[in-house]
Amino acid sequence: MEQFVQYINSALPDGEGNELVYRFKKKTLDEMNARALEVTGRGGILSRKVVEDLIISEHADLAGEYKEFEAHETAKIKARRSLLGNIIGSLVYIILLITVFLGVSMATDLWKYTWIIVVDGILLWVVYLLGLGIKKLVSMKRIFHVFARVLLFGAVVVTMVAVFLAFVALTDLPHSWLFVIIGLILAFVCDGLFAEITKARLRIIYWLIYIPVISVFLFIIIGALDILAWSVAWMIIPLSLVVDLIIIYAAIRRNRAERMEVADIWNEN
Amino acid sequence: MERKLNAELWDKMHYLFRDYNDRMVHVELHYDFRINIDALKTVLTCFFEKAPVLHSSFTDNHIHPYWTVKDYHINDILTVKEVDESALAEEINTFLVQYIPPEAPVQMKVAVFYYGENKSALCVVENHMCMDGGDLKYFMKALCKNYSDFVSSEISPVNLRTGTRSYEAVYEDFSATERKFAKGLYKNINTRDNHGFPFTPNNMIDASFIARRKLSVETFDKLRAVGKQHGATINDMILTAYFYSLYELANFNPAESISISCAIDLRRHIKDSEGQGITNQTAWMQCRIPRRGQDIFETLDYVVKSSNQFKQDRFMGLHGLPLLSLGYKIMPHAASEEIIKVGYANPLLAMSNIGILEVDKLALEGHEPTDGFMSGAVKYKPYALLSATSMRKEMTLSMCVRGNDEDRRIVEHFFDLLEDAIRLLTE
Repeated sequence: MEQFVQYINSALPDGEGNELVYRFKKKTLDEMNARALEVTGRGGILSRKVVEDLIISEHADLAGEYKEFEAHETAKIKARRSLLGNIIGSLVYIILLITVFLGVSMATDLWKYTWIIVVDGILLWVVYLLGLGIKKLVSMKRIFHVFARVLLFGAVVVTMVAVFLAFVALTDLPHSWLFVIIGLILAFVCDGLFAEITKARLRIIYWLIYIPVISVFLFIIIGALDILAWSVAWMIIPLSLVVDLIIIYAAIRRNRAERMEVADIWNEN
Repeated sequence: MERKLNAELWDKMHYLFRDYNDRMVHVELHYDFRINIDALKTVLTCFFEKAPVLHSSFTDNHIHPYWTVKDYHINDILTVKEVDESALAEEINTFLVQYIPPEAPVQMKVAVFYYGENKSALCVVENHMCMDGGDLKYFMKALCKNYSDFVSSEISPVNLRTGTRSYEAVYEDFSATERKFAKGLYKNINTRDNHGFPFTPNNMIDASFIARRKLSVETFDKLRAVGKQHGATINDMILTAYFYSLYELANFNPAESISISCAIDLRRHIKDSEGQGITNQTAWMQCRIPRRGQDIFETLDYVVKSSNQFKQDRFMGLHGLPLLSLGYKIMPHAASEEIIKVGYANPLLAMSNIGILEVDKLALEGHEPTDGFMSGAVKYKPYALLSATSMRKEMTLSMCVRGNDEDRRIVEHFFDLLEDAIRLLTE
């Protein structure tokens, strides 16, 4: 134990009065003592010095361990504050939303329009919560990114549903439903961009799938808005397949160029 | 709380190999002095503590397999026995052919047999899921050095490399472009070859055995000299003899093309192994010859041509790794195993040149090993693996098989043919 105390004190600053340093030192010492008991119980080591050296070698970078501990503890405090902030903020937001809704409705007596304040307000609150989920999942291992992408897809669609409902409630514009289709297009685009930004494996495949899907939605929008006749607008779908082929061709060319670059370096060496 | 370790890609792959072999790697070293058991116990305990995977139990979770670190006692690992010299071979064989289940609490067993006048045999068996021959060689050298330092200078035996066991270490020393390119090598380059070793059919009474044959120092020197003339390595020379004798042993049509897969140590891509824990970094290169050739030198030319093709590849051994990794990442373990089994062709014929066992680095208290060898896993029929190690230029060829007496005779006959082929090469 004496050896461990000496080692911990030599590897870390004194930190008198610093609660975090004290807690880390105490935790490390307890862990080292527990390990010493565990290792001695294996029956293979008779020398106390070897046990101590072994355990000290397991904590070769004690300063680094402390930094990690400090970051972890700070993150824990931040997470607690953030959770509390979100709970209080959400409650305040909902109370404010209902107050605004009731205030505006009573003042104007336009109840047939003002419902949108509550519905869109809640939808945007859902989008905010989805955003928090995305942020958390992105900070986790890559394996969890798939869930972040699902949430992102949902957030984009919910946003566009909110826009759609606002248009339905406040305007007489025809084809408001197209906002839902636009929402789906944006959702696919955002997912593709997410894959690009996070450098997901085989992300090109997502684009190869999404481009024809998006083209179908564009076909509906263009046709519905009479920008082009339906009989002409369908051309956008085969065109999307051409775009796919161009992307594949470009990827192959790029890969070939990289392969040659690597081969050149290899041959030079 | 239980401590869990991630099951790395190669851990999972070697677990998948359970249908093809027993996944045990073997070491046998002889010394002309009595090994200090207390010192050995100390070193082993320290090493097991430094490499917790060695005292972990593997859980075949359908979604995400993992290792659970287990408690153990040194007696679970180390066996010490005084044996009569006449019974030594049998004792060693019994120890070496044991099987350690992946679910067991320890993944390595060590035995010291005292025999004759102050002689010792140090035997080690470990689960290939934990480390391959390359790292086991490192482990043995570190064990010997730490043991010697501890005995002579009381230096605590804690000098074992620790760190990541990830397969991705092979990419770390690449440039950004190379890394990107290497991580995009999704093509599975192994092709199926139905030419196999002529074992008898499987039988429930089959038992594991290790057959070995030694090649003299003179033969080793001649092989190296002749190899130099033909631009061939020792590996190419042994592989040529393997090919040549197989045609005769298995009665293959000399006009037929056959392939033998050779183990490649992927550590060739790792410049600095600091920060690397003990793990597997081995892949296969499939050497194919178009036909046997008129004589053994034509076979040698084919082998050299084939192996040179691999050697010219900057990413030797890395093809297919991203595909394997993707398979394991995007699907639950149970599903990925089934899919990988469909795409993966385990080679029927294989060779692993483990290389030189450096006696100076395997010395205990200044006593160099007098004899020894290492070998790969016990293969289940019809799979066959020829292992090669050399010590003081004396080469040991070994084949670990689960078979019967007839299979043993076939393997011994194969060794005879192999020696004949080597003689032809070196005459």
